[in-house]
Amino acid sequence: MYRIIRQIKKEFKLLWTDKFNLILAIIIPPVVILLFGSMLNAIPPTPQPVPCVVISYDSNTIINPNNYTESRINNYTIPYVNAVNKSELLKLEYFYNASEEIYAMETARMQLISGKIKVIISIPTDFSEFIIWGLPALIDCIPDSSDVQHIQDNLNAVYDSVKIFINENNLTPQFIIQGYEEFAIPEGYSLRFNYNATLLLSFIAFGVSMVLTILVVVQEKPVARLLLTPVKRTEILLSKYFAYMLVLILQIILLIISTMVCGLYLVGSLFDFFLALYIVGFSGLSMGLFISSISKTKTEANQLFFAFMIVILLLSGIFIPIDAMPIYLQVFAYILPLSHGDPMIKSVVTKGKSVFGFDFYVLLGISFLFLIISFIIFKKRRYEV
Amino acid sequence: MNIGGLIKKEFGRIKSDKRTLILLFVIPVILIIIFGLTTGVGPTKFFTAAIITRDEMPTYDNFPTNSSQFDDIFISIMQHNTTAWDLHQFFNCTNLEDYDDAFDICIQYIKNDVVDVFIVLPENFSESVENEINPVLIYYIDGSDMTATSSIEVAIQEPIAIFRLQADLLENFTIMVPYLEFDVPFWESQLLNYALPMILPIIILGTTMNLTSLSIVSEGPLPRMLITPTTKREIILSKLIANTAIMILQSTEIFIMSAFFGLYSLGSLFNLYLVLIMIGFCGICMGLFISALSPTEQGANQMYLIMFIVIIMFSGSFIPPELISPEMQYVINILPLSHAFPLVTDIILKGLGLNLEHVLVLNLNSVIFVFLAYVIYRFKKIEV
Repeated sequence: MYRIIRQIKKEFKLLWTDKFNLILAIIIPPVVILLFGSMLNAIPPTPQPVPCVVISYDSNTIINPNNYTESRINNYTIPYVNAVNKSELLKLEYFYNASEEIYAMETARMQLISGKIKVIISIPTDFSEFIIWGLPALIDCIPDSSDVQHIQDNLNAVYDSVKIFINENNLTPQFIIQGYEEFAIPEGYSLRFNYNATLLLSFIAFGVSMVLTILVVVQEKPVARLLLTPVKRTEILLSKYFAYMLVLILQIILLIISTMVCGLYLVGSLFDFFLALYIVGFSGLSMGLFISSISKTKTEANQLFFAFMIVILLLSGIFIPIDAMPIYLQVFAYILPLSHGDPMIKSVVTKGKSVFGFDFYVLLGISFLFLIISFIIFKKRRYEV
Repeated sequence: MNIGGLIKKEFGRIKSDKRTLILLFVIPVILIIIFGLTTGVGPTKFFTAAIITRDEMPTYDNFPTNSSQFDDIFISIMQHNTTAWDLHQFFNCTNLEDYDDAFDICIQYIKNDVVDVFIVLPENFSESVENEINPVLIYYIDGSDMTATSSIEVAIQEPIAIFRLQADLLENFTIMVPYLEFDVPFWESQLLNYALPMILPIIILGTTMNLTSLSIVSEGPLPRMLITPTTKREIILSKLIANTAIMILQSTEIFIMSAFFGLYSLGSLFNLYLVLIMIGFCGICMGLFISALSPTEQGANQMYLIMFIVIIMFSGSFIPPELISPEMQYVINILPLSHAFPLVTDIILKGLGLNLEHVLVLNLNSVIFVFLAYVIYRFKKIEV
């Protein structure tokens, strides 16, 4: 035990010699959170209006298939355009009457491709007629789908104009939708920050602790000489674990303080929150030490770190939902730490759940698995003394 | 020593570490294979829901008859006819106790992420439909899920529209029909191709930054070389050229592998390849900057990770740039991914050419980082 304590002391001395590294590991992550938080908190809660174009084909002639009569009714075009103007989510840039401007759609498409507008709203030829005849009236909405993340915002904005149109023109019967939010972020807190913070926290806690440890075994030259002393290999590795676990405590405390300063709405207990972040960081630490034990050179450790990190990131569900993956990859994704990190932190932060759930135990299992493998590899590793 | 000799030396150094050399070319392949396989399956249901129907409970409004046939139609539509919804369970409540129990279960479902939302059909649901009085739908949604809360009102229009058709409730029915412009065709791998404009730049930038982030700081013989007539400028230049050659091979490999897994590009493939090379070059320059700045390998690794996280988080994907202050927009606009994402998106999904502004800023980034790397390395004190 005494030897382990001395070894831990040595590890801290070694860490202290590289102050640049220490500053990066401890100070920079909370600074990133503060910067991220200040940016997100400054965003107004109401969305920016979506620039749009309305093209009306409503005054074009349609032929009623039942009695072959021509019709050119466009009574509802202006009320709909008024609804677009009234909507706070839409900004009408241009209005084209396609009966007069036959290339209206081409012009609008050019505006869409150039990014001047985000959505084209097209009122079809039969719009007014169908409302009058008691048939479903359709409004065509053409959003810029190359911007995948904002398609929903564009659709929401157009739907808002449809709602205003229905209400203002007393078009009944309509479905009245009453929504209630459970586990919502209260007013005064930034929804955007609270939504993204858990993702960033799991990413930082895991990444920073992993990167801090990927070189600790592979780069330490005195390890070979240490083996001449009575110190055992398990003690060397154990002391590294303990030293970096203590550093991790400080890292997590600072991360928590910075997120609280930025206005994180924490429903669960602070202890659960700490433990959730700690176990994510601990799994990163175990993986880092595993990489360090398995690598022969520092460059190799660095390459392996990147490979591990990017695979874990890609399969974490951030970019592709895990449910959308083939079943064999779902199994693989669920044994990776970040697939459990974000859901666990989110459930503690937003729903007040206990940290001791399935995700926690999976992370604990992953961490111990890597810990044991690291010990075995380190024990069998050959050193030239 | 001439620059050719230095470049040869760089390649020799990379070649000497066989395991690293293999990793350099195997890692991008593994990443694209995993990613390609990941996205082979089609999109999933967007909402998982539960329904509590109180329709069989007596209603005390002024309706001529008490009926309850329409809740079954709505539930059946939610079960079988929608593309965006997956019905997890429904509860038929005939009294208030049943309803309270079902409500508690549904709240627990939301808490445990079993469902995203549960819908309550009130007592007078069928009566309202029958008498063409505005029927009410009540939903309770997981408020902590920003994506779900922002899309529920539009998503619920799908079952409502089908219901109105089946229940012949067509009068005054106005609905928005989306036609996605610049989308990935349904016969292509949609998930892969929607994600590629984001994933390709991340993989290439990450790989290349990683390639060079230790190239200066970890090279032992470098200080000794300074005793020779070799200048620091030549050292940086040789590293830049040698690593660029490797980066071009890596980018080509990534490009070919993406094509193999069904890359869909409306625009010129040559332009896309060119953009990937530019992104890779920017990664090389940033890596050299990190390597020149960091006093130790651990520091370089830390800095690499932090820069990588910052570049991803502030790329404009997580924070829409138009919503933040002009000063912060400036910060976002100088980061490479803020230009790489739109460049790749414009080519792949919109079929556009190279946007000169983005190309210019991306390359300016590279020039600035390589210049900074040179200046830092020039004034760095090295013990020979």
